[in-house]
Amino acid sequence: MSSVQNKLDKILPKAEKPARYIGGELNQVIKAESDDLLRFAFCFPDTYEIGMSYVGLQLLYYLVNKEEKLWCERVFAPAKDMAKLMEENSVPLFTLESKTPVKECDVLGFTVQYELSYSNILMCLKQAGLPLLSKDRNEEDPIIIAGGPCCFNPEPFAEFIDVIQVGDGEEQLIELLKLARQRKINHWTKREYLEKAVEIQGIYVPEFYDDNHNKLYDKAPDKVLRSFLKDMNSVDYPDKMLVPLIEIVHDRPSIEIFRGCTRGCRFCQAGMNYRPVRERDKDTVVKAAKSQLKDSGHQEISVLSLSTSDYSQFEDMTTELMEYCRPRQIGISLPSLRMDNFAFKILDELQGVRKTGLTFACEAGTQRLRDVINKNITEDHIFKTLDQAMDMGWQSVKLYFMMGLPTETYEDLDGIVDLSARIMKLAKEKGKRFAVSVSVSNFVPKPQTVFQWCRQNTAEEFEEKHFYLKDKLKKIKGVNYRYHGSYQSHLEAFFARGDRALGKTLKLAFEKYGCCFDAWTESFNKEGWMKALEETGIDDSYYAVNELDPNKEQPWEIIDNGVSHEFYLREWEKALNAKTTQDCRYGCVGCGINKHTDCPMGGCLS
Amino acid sequence: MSRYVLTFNKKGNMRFISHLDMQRLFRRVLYRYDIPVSFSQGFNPHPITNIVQPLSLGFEAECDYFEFESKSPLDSSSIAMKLNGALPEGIKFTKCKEIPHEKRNLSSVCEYSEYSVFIPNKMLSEEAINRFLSQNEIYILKRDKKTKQMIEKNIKNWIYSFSVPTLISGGTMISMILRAAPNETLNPLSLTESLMKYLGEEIAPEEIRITRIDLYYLENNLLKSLFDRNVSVL
Repeated sequence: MSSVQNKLDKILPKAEKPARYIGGELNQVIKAESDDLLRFAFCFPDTYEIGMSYVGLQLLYYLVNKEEKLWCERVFAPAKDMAKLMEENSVPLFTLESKTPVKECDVLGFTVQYELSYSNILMCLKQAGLPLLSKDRNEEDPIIIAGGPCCFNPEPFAEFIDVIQVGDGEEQLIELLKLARQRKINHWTKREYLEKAVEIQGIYVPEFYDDNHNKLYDKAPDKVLRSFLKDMNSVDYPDKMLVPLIEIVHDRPSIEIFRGCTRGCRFCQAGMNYRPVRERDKDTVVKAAKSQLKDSGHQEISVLSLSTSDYSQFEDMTTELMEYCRPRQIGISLPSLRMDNFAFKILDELQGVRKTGLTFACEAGTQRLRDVINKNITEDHIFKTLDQAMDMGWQSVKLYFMMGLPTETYEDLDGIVDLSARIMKLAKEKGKRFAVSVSVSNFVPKPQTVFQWCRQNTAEEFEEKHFYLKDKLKKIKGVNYRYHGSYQSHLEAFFARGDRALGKTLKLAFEKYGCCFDAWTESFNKEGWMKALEETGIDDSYYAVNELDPNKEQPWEIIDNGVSHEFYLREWEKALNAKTTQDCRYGCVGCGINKHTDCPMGGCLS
Repeated sequence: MSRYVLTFNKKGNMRFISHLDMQRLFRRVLYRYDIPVSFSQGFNPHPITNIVQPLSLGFEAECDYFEFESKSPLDSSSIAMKLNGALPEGIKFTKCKEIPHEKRNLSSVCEYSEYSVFIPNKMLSEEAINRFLSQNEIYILKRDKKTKQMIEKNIKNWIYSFSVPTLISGGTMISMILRAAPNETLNPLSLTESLMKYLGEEIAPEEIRITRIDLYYLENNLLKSLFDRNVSVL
């Protein structure tokens, strides 16, 4: 038994939710240690319940472990109570499978899903006993890699990471790990490894560039073009999933049906970064769903994508899934569904007498603003849908909005109030019991989107608008209102559009003020962040609130997601004039992705 | 409808899986092997499965009990082995048998639970334990179900028996049989803490290792293992 396990026997009885740290789930992979086995620790820098809900982890865990000489083990951020117990008892951050200290692995990889997890990366490095800065680590330390959506602007955390992966990870990660195995066998230096790694598409090695992106190594690319998985059917989808022993956030198998989106919402980062749309074959989806359900014994399944109804074989797929699930009383969850007659039919069959929620992502309160953001949902559609939904027995609807969108005025906020009031009026006319839940998040301008140059509202502006809405909405009976913490959104924008200078703020906030788990409202330390900003002399408003100059090179432009600068500029012009752009399945809109890879979508429905 | 009881053990790190998570785990395992579990009637049907006595987080078990109803008959001789194929290391079904239908489930049949309690770094004498047990009243701290406050409760008549302590691995091992019936459950950890307090010994509760050995009911005033219970089917 490992020495970590011996110590765990002592500290786990004192920890909150100790099962977070034990591993041992059905389908975990254990391999026999050998000199030519590459050991990869895959870290989701948040708690077990969050990290295990991430489908990408299931996918990559399966793909890496399918390779005989690669071993992927899982690591999650210890919660604060456990982190303290580990420090007091000299237990370093360890892998769940074999309880090996992360420091003894060959490669440690972080998946970076949201800006407010950056401080947790530092926390994990510290718990692992590793120096935070890449330049302070030595040849014996693991290579630290990072991937995930935030790598489309990795600059704020670049100096802590050795290798950054941009784009689809399926093939790229395997290549990177196989190369690391060669390093292990042939005893290459870290530098030798980095020079070889940078030849792989979509690999960004921060130390090959200075803070202004001047190249320090000739063979490093001028700009890092993301990697593309050309055919979703070329890699296997897991037939088995890791089945958690404790309840997690999304406790069910989840099958990704396609990647990308053709709708072109101007605020949406995923919609730009995962172009073009690539579908997984229907038969593969249904087969994976059945086999994961059968193997795990779960009684619910969900499919995963942006704008689910856009899947070309949606009706066939759903029908086949229902045929399997209904007699077994298995629930199907179809998020991101467009409500048309077919959707009603299946939801009615799926949900039976107990109708669960219906959700609309309206995003903005008026048609004008919805045109600005290119969100093609109309009030007509909302009301037609609700009319039918009420008749069929639904008793509540959730409406999602964003506030602080470019060109927004108080008229647009009144639009939210008006919409809610009219829904309640409709219910009253029909004599139905009904509830509207309005959920408003704060707009965060994301790099690599049409709105990347936009200003964000200040935390004060957000607060003011929230109070305005709260006041008006509380007067409407049956409407409830939720909103997000403004300073957390401010910090998100700060990091989303940040450059390398922010690394020192991040480091100080963590080291001196203990900032971590920033995405958790109860542990968010606003004062710590404010002090860290002040002491490092960084102007957070410059990054978050300023309108940026489209003609000036931005820090994230070292990364190329394949969408052209000209497209962003064109779309930004149209946005300011409240002009919409069509779904590109009805005709190519010239985003430029087809210069880098085949795009089957342009005009496919026209 | 057929009704089955399975015994299982729970060891090592699996002692950190809670009662509710164990229930979810067992249901998943039944579904995985297409066992046609019966559902309750009503507006919100749920599968008819039951872990007979909840086990505190952190306790191990040699022999714990799980019962369920199936819509069609199963081969009880092979079922434990079959279901083990989908259980994590550390949890294992050991025996299975078909049991007759009754209005009540095994939770309301169960009356006592046996535990083995290991107290590290302490050498307790038989004399000291007898002194503790011979008090007129024995108090533990227990959470009141209604007020949610910790209250002192006299549980002397919930103690069925204590074994003679054995000194092993630098600590003391005691086997105890305690009341484990609906609304009358004595937690061996609370009792051990009460014992240590009485003896003036200090110990961190998380250092005490506890294993459930078996569950019992009374037949003609004799303890009998729940698994050996036979009821005549009317």
